[in-house]
Amino acid sequence: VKPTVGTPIDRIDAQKKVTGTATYAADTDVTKIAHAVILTSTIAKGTIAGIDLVAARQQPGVLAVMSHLDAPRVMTGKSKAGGPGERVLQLLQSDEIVYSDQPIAVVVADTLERAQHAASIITVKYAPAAALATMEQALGSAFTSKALGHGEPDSNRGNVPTGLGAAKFKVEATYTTPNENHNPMEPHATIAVWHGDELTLYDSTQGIFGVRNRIAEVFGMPKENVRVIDQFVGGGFGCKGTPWSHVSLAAMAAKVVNRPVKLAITRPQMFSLVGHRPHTIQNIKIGCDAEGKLTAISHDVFSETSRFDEFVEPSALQTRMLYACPNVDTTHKLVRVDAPTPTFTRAPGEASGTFAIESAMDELATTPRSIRRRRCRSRRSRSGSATAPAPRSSAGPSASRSRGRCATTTSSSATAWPPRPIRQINNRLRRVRPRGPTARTSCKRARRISAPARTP
Amino acid sequence: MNPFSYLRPTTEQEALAALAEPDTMALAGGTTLVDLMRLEVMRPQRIVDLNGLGMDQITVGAASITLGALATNSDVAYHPDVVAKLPALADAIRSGASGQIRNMATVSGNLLQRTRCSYFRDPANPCNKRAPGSGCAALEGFTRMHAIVGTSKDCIAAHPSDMCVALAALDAIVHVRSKTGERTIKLVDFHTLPDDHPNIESLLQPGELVVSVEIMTTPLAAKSRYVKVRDRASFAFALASAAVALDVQGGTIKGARVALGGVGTKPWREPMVEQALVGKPATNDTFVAAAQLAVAKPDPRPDNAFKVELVKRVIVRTLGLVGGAK
Repeated sequence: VKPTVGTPIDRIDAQKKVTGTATYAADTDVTKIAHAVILTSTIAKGTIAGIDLVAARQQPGVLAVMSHLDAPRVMTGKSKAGGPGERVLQLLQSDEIVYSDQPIAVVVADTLERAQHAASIITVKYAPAAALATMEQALGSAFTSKALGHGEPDSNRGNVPTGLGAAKFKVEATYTTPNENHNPMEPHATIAVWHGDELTLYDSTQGIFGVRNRIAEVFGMPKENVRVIDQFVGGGFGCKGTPWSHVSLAAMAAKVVNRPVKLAITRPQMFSLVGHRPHTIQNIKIGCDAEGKLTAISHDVFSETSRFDEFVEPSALQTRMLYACPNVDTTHKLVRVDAPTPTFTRAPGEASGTFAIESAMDELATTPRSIRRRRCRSRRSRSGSATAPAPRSSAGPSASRSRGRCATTTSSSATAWPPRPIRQINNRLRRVRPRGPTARTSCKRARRISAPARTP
Repeated sequence: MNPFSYLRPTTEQEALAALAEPDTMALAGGTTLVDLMRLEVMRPQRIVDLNGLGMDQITVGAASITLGALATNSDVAYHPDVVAKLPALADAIRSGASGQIRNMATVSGNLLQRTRCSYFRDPANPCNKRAPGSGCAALEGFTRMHAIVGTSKDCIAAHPSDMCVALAALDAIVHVRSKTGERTIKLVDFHTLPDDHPNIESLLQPGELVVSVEIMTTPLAAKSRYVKVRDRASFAFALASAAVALDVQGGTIKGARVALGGVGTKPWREPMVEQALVGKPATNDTFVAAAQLAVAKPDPRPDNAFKVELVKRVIVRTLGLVGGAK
């Protein structure tokens, strides 16, 4: 009998994907299809004072141009389903601009190029208002939101001020992360086909049922009347988790022109219409005693959200459980800026938060008496067993420092030094990297060095 | 993309007549023009496709190599005589763009490529190059990729070419033709400074066509190199680059050419640095001292102030590669 575990098997979609025959949402062959493009705002805040659609409507091949003046009325508010991914949509229902590159018109034509050209000659007059682009100038307006996906926004264990007071070594630092956009290879795309009161959507999404439920709400129709089909997703990373405005706009356009409509997001629009990981500012305080045992951690997170939704980047969640430490405080606060609503991005919170907490740990480890090993040790033993290995000064030769701050052992026998052979290359000491499971962060880097080399 | 008419002439005469029409653009490899048309940055009414004209020959003469206007970047960069006799040019082309783009991009297209200033490429922003008189968003914007020399109050966009930097160092000559005749323009004069007319980027007049670029195959040119420093290892524009040619005899520098990329609003020749090298021993001290004279009176911004020092180090490194300094 051929063993199952360890035996390679072919992906059933492999051949289609490598030969280009996989039908992604926008590849679906639908007869009499029309093409829609979204025109977006060039200001971040204010109102549309005037929009001239006459020339665009006169272009050859143009079937319809929708703006806030004449778009079908739909339900744009927050979904009843709730949840951090259910945000307010921008569906041409008012003249208000709430972020840069917000949808302000949709052009439908018989070809994509004709739709693009017609959209490019629409002229818009704005009444702009002062916009706040990033939260740095508005941290005073930070507030605590209940919109955190898992758990409470704030946490407390023990007494952090006392723990910091008892600390021999302390690190206080602020870490920032920028906005990050998902940008999968396949941009979002929707084909909307109405059959009477029933709607079929070919949509690039990570969640067909979420799309069905939200679209039913937007159009005030039974969800049984909405069918969402997606054969392949060309990457999503969270930005295709729940539907954005373009899905509804495609269905609205299809209704207006009474034809199937394809609406594909352009690459530049991927930066405004489908979410992002928000910019964060993270203040961290860590203290440890003379032996390197952690005495306190506080991790305060500020992240940006839009004017109309609350999405919390949960950067401090892992800090509550990552290290053995009796005194741990974490907070999450939001600051509103004139920008689109953020969303889940690969490892929401962990990716932005571990950067901050692990960077602070690195700083602490470079204080005069490096304590890195005790952190790793205590982490391995989970409960944070009180006994930590001896400090580096007694564990290894002083030269160990020159090997870089990760070149230290996590093995329970701290006296074995160096942990792995050091190979001399170009007069520089290089650690020999054993092949083995890859590591996550600094502690694992240290462990990898000490792990026995494996041969596959 | 706006609607446009498309003409593919088969004779140069026909092409020159068509190019004399208003709102007309010549199409060579299309790697810049098509891109910018799709972005609505350029909206020509008429496209004249030059690819039916031939003009893609690389001619090796006794004293020079002549590159046809439509020779592709790839054909030039891997031509054995270019590699042997004009190494800086081969280096420079290979350091630019990607293999796919180099297979399409042409010599004349490279000369006439538009800036990569992100504000130029976004019609939602004011840009004196794209819409004269509308203002310059870059002045108060993100300027890591922008120029530090040759700037004006109306434009600080960097010239993006690698190839032109090598051509500037190697004293290339541009051959130009129009309905009324033919003329030559030195490559170092071909591009113009932005001043108060950043929309005008070269001496090429409407209706004129670049037909070839000629480079002398001197001993100096045979000892040339191009070094490019950028944010990514490939497919990135230069933060700073240098094309250098040196003639060293008995340890003494007899001739020098230095041109810079990534720092100027046009390919930036540095005669002061060259003068400081000639007659001096080919040592690192000489190179460092000469490099200090580069980018005199720079006009940096907070995002690109690092380029002032960076480009000097790039010059020293490139001189070291060519001159074999200890």
